[in-house]
Amino acid sequence: MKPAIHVALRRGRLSAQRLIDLVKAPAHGAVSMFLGDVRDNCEGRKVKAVTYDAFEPLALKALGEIAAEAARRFGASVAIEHRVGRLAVGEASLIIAAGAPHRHGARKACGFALEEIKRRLPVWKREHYNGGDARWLEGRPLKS
Amino acid sequence: MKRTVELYGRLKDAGRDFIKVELAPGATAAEALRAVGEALGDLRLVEGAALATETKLLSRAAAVPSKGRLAVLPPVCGG
Repeated sequence: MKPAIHVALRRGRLSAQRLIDLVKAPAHGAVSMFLGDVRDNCEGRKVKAVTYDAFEPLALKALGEIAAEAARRFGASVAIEHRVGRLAVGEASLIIAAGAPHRHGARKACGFALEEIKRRLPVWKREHYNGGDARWLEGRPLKS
Repeated sequence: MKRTVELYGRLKDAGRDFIKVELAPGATAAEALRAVGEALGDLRLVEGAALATETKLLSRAAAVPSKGRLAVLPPVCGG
């Protein structure tokens, strides 16, 4: 069975169930998921929202490459969606779902995809604080 | 040649989403990044940044393509 791959950038709310459904299959005994939420604090400051900015054509390409590589390495179906725009505290910014015949493949595919996203997805995060100010968070330089 | 370069992340603090810069024919990505930093009035803004097209990151020594979108991508923090 060919693993399923799905990636998207979305301006609306993400659905964990939709991604689970995309990676489930009769031959899959395991689904592993990562769900990243906007939290209400950072380095002692109260956060009220986060804005995600993306260079969308390259971000979609990178997500597709990451999902395909995770699928190839671990024999998993992989679905990834990342939000863009302004998110309130508690909203999901990133969901990764990986379905595989066994738990190890599903968990490893999910973890691999997450670390690759942190390393090379052209996305930026601006935190908005209760005091009314905001700042872009420090990140990792992209390597060509 | 005059090129429009899109700005992302912290580079948007300059209050704009893109900037126009003059690039010599055959200019490298490093030269384009410097031109963007100078046009923004602060070379520190492009420290650690990469130049990209819609399909790939350009190495600092790569020639800037004569057509297509260009973007300056500062250090990333998705997720």
